[in-house]
Formats: sequence, C-alpha cells, structure tokens
Amino acid sequence: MASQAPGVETAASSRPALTTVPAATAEIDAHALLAEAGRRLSGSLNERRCLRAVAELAVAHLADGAVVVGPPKGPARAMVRLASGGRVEELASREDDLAQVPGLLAILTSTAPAPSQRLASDAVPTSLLPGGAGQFADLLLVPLPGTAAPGGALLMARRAGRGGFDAHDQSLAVTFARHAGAAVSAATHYREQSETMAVLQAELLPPELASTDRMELAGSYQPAVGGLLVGGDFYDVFPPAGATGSVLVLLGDVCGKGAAAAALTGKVRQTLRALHLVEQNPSTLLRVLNEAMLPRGDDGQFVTLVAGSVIPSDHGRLRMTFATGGHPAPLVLRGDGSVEEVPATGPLIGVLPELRIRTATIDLGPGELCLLYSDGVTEARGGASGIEQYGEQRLRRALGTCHGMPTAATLERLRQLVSDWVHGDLRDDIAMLAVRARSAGSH
Amino acid sequence: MPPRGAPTVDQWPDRAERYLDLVGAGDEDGAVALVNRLLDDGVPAERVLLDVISAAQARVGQLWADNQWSVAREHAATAISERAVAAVAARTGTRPYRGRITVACVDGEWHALPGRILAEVLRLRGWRVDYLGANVPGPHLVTHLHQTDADAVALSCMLPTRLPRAHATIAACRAVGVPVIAGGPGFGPDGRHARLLGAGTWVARADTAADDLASGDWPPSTAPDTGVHYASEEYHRLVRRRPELIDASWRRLAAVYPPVADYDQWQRESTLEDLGHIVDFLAAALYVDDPRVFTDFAAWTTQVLAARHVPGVAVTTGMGILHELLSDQPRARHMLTLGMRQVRAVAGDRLTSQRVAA
Repeated sequence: MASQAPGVETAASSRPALTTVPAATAEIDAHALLAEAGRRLSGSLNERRCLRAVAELAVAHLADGAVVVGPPKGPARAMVRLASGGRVEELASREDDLAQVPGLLAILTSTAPAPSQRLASDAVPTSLLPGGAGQFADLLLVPLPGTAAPGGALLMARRAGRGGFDAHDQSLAVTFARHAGAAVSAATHYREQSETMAVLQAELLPPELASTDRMELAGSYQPAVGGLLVGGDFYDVFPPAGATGSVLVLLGDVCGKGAAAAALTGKVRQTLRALHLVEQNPSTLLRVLNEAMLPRGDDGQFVTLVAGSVIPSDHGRLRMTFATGGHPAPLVLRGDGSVEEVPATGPLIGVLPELRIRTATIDLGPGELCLLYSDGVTEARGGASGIEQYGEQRLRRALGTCHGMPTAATLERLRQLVSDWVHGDLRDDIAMLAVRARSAGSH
Repeated sequence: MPPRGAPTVDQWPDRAERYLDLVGAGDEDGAVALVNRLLDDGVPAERVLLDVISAAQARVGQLWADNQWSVAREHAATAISERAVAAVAARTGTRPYRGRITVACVDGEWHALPGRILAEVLRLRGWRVDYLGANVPGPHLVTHLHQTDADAVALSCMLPTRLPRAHATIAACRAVGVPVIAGGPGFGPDGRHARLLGAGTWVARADTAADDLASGDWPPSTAPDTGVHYASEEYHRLVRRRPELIDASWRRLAAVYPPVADYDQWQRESTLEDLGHIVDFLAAALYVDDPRVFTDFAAWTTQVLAARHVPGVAVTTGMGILHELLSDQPRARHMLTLGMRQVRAVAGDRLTSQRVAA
C-alpha cells in the first residue's frame, strides 16, 4: 500500500482492483478501451463509481498507475488511486495538496478546455502516486472536462521499460478523458439534483405515525411512478387540538400522478394541518378546504379525501366521526371478524361551490380496526383475466381474513394481496391507514 | 467475552422452542423480552438473530404448510419477529468500519424477514447497510444505487416465480456497476439460478454471506457478461397467453369435474388462483429452462394440499388440462408431464406412510 501523501486523508475502504493489466504493448487497443469505457461509464450516475471506473480503465488499458481527481465537493475533492496489481484507494484531498502537481490546479479550476501535458517523473511528489515511491518513469496529466463548470483530472503513470506516452497514446488518452469527464460531470450534476430533490421530497413523504396508549396507528404507502417515493396519494395524522382534544386522521388522493400530484398533496396536507388547529369538525374542514381549492381560472385541481376525528371514549373505545369528499368510505373490522363500511358520503373537493356531506360516527371497540384506503387498492387491475378490478368486495373479504393480526401485519397482508392480484404491475398509487383501539392489556 | 452464567450453545434450542411458542401465541412483549434476556445473558446478537428468530421463522413456514397454523397466525408471528429483530438492532450499535451494502427484496417478494436479518447481521459485522425492505421495484433500487456509494447489492428472492423480475433487477444493478449477491431459495435450493441470471454469487445463510464479504475477495467483480441469459420463446408465449389459458382451463375443468359448476365466487377464485400458480411456476421453470423449478413446486403443493386433505388428483387434473391446451409448447408439456409424475410420487409416498403409521 502506498505511503500516505502529505495532507491526504484516507476516506474510504480500499478494495481489489477489478481489472488486471495486460502485458505492456506499444499499440494500445483503442477500440477495447473506448468500448469498455462506454459500457462502464454510461450506466452509472454515481460519482464515486465513475471515478473508480476511470482509474480502473486507465490502468487496464493505458498506464501502470492512475490518480483520478474528481470535481469539487465542499472543501475537498474525491481522489481515487490505483496501481496495477494493487487495490483501489479512495481518498479526499485538498487543493493545496494538489497544488504540488504542476499544472493541475489550472486544470481543476478552469472552465475552459485545457491541454494534456507530459510531466517529468520527479515533478510529482511520490507520496501522491499509487503503489509506492519512485517506480514511475513517465507521467501524463489529462483534464477530465466538466460541462460549463470545472471538472477533474486524470494523472497516469508508466513504469520504466514500458515506454513513454507517445502521440498515439496521448490522443487516445484525451479521447478517453473526454468520455470520462462527461460521465463524471453527469454524475455530479445528478448528485446535486438528487440532493435537492431529497430535501423537497422529504417534506412530502408520509409521516411517521406515533401510536398512543389508546390508539394504534399504521400506514402503508406505495407510489406507482418508479424511482419516486411520493405520489398523488397521501395520509396524515394531526395531534389533539381544540376543546375536545380530537386527533384528526386523513387519507386522500389528488388528481394526477407523479411529482405534480405530490406537490399538490403537500398543499392539501399543510392547509388541513393549519385548519385543524382552529376547527375540528371533519365536515367543516372539508368545506373550508373546498373553498380554498375552488378553481381560480382553469387550473382544475381537485382532491378526494376522507377525514375522521378520533376521540377516546369509555371502556377503551374510540369514537370516530368521518366526513368524505368523493373518496371510498373507510371499512371497519369488528371484533367478530365481520367487516362494515362507514356510511359517510360527499362529493369531490375543489369542484363544486356547495358540498352536501353526510358524516358518519362509529364506535371502535377494543381490538377493532378502521381502515382508510385509496382507490388504488380497489381499482388495481389483474386477477386471472389480468384486467379485472380488485374491487371493494375482495378488499372487505381480505380484511376479514386479517382478524387477529397486528395492525402493521394487516396492512402488509392487504398490500401483498393487491400486489399478487396485479402480478406486481402496479399502475396507481396505493395508500392505506389503519386505526385500532388498543385492547386492554396490549400496548 | 460472555459474562458469568451465559447460556451455552446447547441451551439455545430450548430458548428457540420457547420463542416459537411466544410468537405462535401472538405474545409480542414476551418474545421481545425473551430476546432481550438472551442478549442480557451474553448470547451474541448474531446467534439470537439466526438460531432463535430465523430458526423459529423457518418452523413457522412449515407449520403453515402442515396446516397447523392459520395464515393469520403465521402473519402475526412474522410481524412479531420483525419487532424482535428491531429490538436486537436497537440494543447493538456497531460503528460501520467496512463498506456499504444495500439489502433489498426483489420486486413482488413480500417475505422480508430473511433480508432484514441479513441486514442486521451485516451491520453487526461492521458494514454500513441500507435496508430497502420487501417488494423493491427495480427503478427504486437503481435510483438508490445512483444516489449512494453501495459496494454491492444483496438481493433476496424466496419464490422462483419472481426470477424474471430478479433477472431484470440484477441486470440493472450490473449496468450501473454494482455487483449482486443473491440470496434465498427462489434462486434454487442450491442457488443454481443465481449465476445464470448474472448475480456475482449466491449465499445460503446470512452468516456465510457475512463471512464471504469479510474474506477480501468480495464484493465479486462486475466482469463483462460471458454469456447473457435469454428466456426462451416458449416462456414469452406462455406469459402472453396466461389469462386465456386460465380461462380455457377453468372451462375444461368444469367439463371434466361437474361440481365446480356449483362453486361460489370465492371457491371459483381460489381455483383460478391455483391454476394461475401452476402457470406461473411453469413460466419460471421455462425462464431458467430447468424442470426442477416445476417439479419442486409440484411436490410442495401436493404436501400443502394433502395437509388440507385435498388429494393429489386435484393438482394433476389442472396440470393435465394445461398439458392438453399447450399442444404447441413441447418444453412446457414435458415439464407438466414431469410435474404430474412428481405429484403422484409424493401423494403415493404420503399414502404409504399414512398406512404404515396406521
């Protein structure tokens, strides 16, 4: 293993090189290098794996040792080193260490194209090079161009006896570095975008549910759009508010799918969260939300929603009052294993100026469970024919078979049954929220 | 260094038995308390995960298959074991000092506990682990890999019917440059399908996976594909015809077995589901071109049904009908023939052993 470079921190694990060096040949097989570079660099949007691939490709095809310096990331830059027959080393380096290599800082800080340059073997501190001191005779420094931003650099080294980097090698190195630079830049760009998206997405994720000594809560959420953790379905639970101290549970589905729908769920949740502090009656909440959402112009956004206030009553029971707006009514799993529908009705929210809402109140006995769900469950298409909807009847029956199961296991089983129904081919978001009155003695 | 009075290895089976009783009774508090007591007594966390929780879970599956436990009881027990694993994890913080591993169940795979236990074992051995849970769609996994510096993916697959999706996921992981460690009997009892589908390796147990990962030759390399596996034309044809095949099978079944005419909706749906399973396992066998996928399913189904007093002929009838319908799919027919033979052999063995027992 190389001795530690001055001021260079070892940041990550080392691992074996994935490729071995062929016998030194004067004629580098340009096609083999560029084909493998295409395969390995085009698939990855991960900075670290790109930098490693660049080092491995350089050592497999062009050089006996390579140092890859990545684009800036905070005060340091990622650096990957590899010598033939050795292991990949992953380090973090600061610019003042890199200043010891002639011309390197100019490459790393410039957004303009820069030429490659051969360096004398003693121009670079041996501690910066991989695989031990004094073994390299010829060095070639090549920029990894960024896209309209400073990129990275690739320093390649050959041992004495292999022959220096001739014009053909340099030309190939520059072509390879252009591919590599584009891949690293894309990965950097992706990282920055996904870090931003993670922050925004975190605001829209389903909440962590906190069960209480009277009420057990569990949620299940699966967006249909691949790669996205949020979608147009949502649920939430707001802590006790008002004179009655009622908890509000809600589950809804906004029009549309994907990111645009997810953004709207954020607005709806935030509106309801604030409203719940001053108004706890579910039907009034829905009416106010409706007014807030009524079309201004032609944006035509709407939402279906079920909202329920939950108040603990005597003998371990929970009293729940529901209002729905164009949403499937909640189901109740009774202590005897039977399943009932909560008879609440109401129209879509955000379309009509006047809402006719019929609220319904139920009592949940100890151990009994109330299920709020989105139509992604009942409208899931599959079955033997592949096109039949799962339907409310199957859902009720499935819920009945969950009698005696823990709350989280109940949701897991329902989700699994729907997934089996569609053969894993989910086309719509699915959300479920379960509220269970705790049995005496359970926690 | 276990404290004084630590239970010895040969005492654990008793605890495992006791643990099984507790999860079977739905006693979450009791099961978690037992696990905590074992840790208090100095039993290594990894042994609690594998010899107690994982061992009990294997028994739970068997108890369901033997019709001794209901589906509800099995699910409740599994949910409690999830909590028990969480309790072990909460007690044992190991600072990661090795690389980073992503653990996920293949798309459509809901048996999450083995993957969860692997994740905790790897954490205990110093790996940084991202556990993505059950049923991870390929695009979610790939997005995660782009966004993290995972050294490898551990992919769990318990049922061979998920193999086509597992294959797609493995290919996607390799395309982004991350090697895959396959795990679970879905890849075959000896993992024989894992390599075929491009996984770097297959591991039978969480602790051997951790041993291998620590050996230094891991994660396995992402060398270029030497031979890419392509599913046969017969596989694709069977999958396309699935709805039509099940429908046609149902109508033929009604012709040869009149009582199905009086089935209610749920009996009918359950029969359609059974026919669907036969088609799906046949498709999986065609996908990897290995009749054992289908004959293993035939043997297992026969045992599960026999435990519920359903005779083997109920299975062979469905397979026989498919055999007739698939006149233009010779490979599938061959597998169905082997499957029917397997059902008769297993059902016959059971009858014989029952007579001997009587």
